[in-house]
Amino acid sequence: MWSWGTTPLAVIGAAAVVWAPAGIASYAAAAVLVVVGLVLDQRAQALASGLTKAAMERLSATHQQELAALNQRHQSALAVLGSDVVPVWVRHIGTARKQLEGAVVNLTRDFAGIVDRLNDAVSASYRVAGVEQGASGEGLRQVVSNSERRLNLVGQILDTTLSEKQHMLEESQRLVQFTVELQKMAADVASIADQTNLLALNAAIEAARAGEAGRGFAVVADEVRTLSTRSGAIGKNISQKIDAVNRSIKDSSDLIEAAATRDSQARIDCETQLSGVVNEFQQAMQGLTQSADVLRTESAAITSAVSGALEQLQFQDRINQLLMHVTDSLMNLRDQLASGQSPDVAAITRLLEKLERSYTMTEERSASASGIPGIPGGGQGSADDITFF
Amino acid sequence: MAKTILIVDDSASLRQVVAIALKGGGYDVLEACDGRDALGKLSGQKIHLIISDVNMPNMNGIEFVKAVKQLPNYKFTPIIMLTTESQEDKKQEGQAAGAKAWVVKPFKPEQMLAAVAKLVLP
Repeated sequence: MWSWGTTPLAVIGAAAVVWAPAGIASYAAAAVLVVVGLVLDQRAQALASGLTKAAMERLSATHQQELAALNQRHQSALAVLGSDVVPVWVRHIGTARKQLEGAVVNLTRDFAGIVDRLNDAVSASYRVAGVEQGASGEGLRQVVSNSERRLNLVGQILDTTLSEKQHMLEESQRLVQFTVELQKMAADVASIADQTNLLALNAAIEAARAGEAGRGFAVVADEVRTLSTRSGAIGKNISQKIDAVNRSIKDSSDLIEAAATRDSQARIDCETQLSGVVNEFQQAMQGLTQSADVLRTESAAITSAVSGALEQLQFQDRINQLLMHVTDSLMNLRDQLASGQSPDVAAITRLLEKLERSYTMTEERSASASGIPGIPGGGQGSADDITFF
Repeated sequence: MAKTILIVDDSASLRQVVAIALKGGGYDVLEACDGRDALGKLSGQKIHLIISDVNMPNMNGIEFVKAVKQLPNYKFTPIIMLTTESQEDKKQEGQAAGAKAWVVKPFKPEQMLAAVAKLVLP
């Protein structure tokens, strides 16, 4: 026979408060239990108070029927609680566990993806900058170095060209010196021709004085005079040609000198341009290197934050275990209610003791310690530690 | 060549967290959802270290460790228990079974890597 004085529904309600932290569904159900328990207990207490055995005997048949009906309603409510309500709680908790696990799996995968992509980006930036330790030399630093070397090679080629033109200019000036000597030689030839001509003229005069005897000598003197005239003409012609050659050499020298001056200026301009290009490359490389450093620093900070997030995400596993223990206990309650035996304080206490034995975490023991008096609890052990054996 | 570590846990999310931490340390990772599944994955592979939960369906972590210690190829393979259990009696149970370390969840990834580096077979 059901005993109202033991207020079992209040005990169930209080037990539900212990389970309540496990989830919103449990919390709402627990609140319903507490309210139902309080209402029924108040009515039972009101009926039981002041009823002595003698008074009970004097109860009218109407009152006894009312008490029996109330008892019947109470037992029916408990049966419905076990058969209909508790399985719904269990299913809700199961749904919550699945959804929570799925969400955390996705979240963890996303975090891992972020870290992987970040590491790839950092590696790529260092590869581009060519500053990564052990880099294969394909980076920008290597490109800048190669470009600088090739641009310097262009400068060396220009230097060689400039040097060759300078050499040509010097050779031209030497030619001018030769022509001066040639001019002098031509003048000597003309002078000798003049003297020879004068000599031939004297010879012709002396031959004329000699009369018939000097006729042959006069012919010779005339020929010598002809030759000296021709020599003088040739000498003059040589002198004119040398003048022409001299002018050509001077024109060539002027052209070469002008070209050399332009090339020299071009070399200076080229060097300035090459230096500017190399500097721009180096600045670009420095910018990229700094960006890569910033990226690496940020990456390290994000990786650290993700590491912290991975630690926090493990609480899903702890919550999952807590919900499993609550689910098991709810199933035990269902079995208790389905047995047909009316629960009493001892049965409920055993239920909570069984729940307590399933605890693995400090939080569970702490929550239980604040539950029903008489149930041993309290946190033991410490989380976040490593023990080596 | 990267060392291979077997993670045994019935929680997919926890396996993933451990796997991410270990892959970040350059390890290859295999996963099993309970002790029975893990024993099946040990055959034909070289496993350098095992990380196992304690409370699992089918075969719990303590039973799994005892079973591993019976296998000639894995007799000396270091095993780290990774669990929410922090009670001393549970730790002693793990030690008696043959585990080398007891890590309480939640763990810090860098601490797990340090523990693995300390115990992993060469």
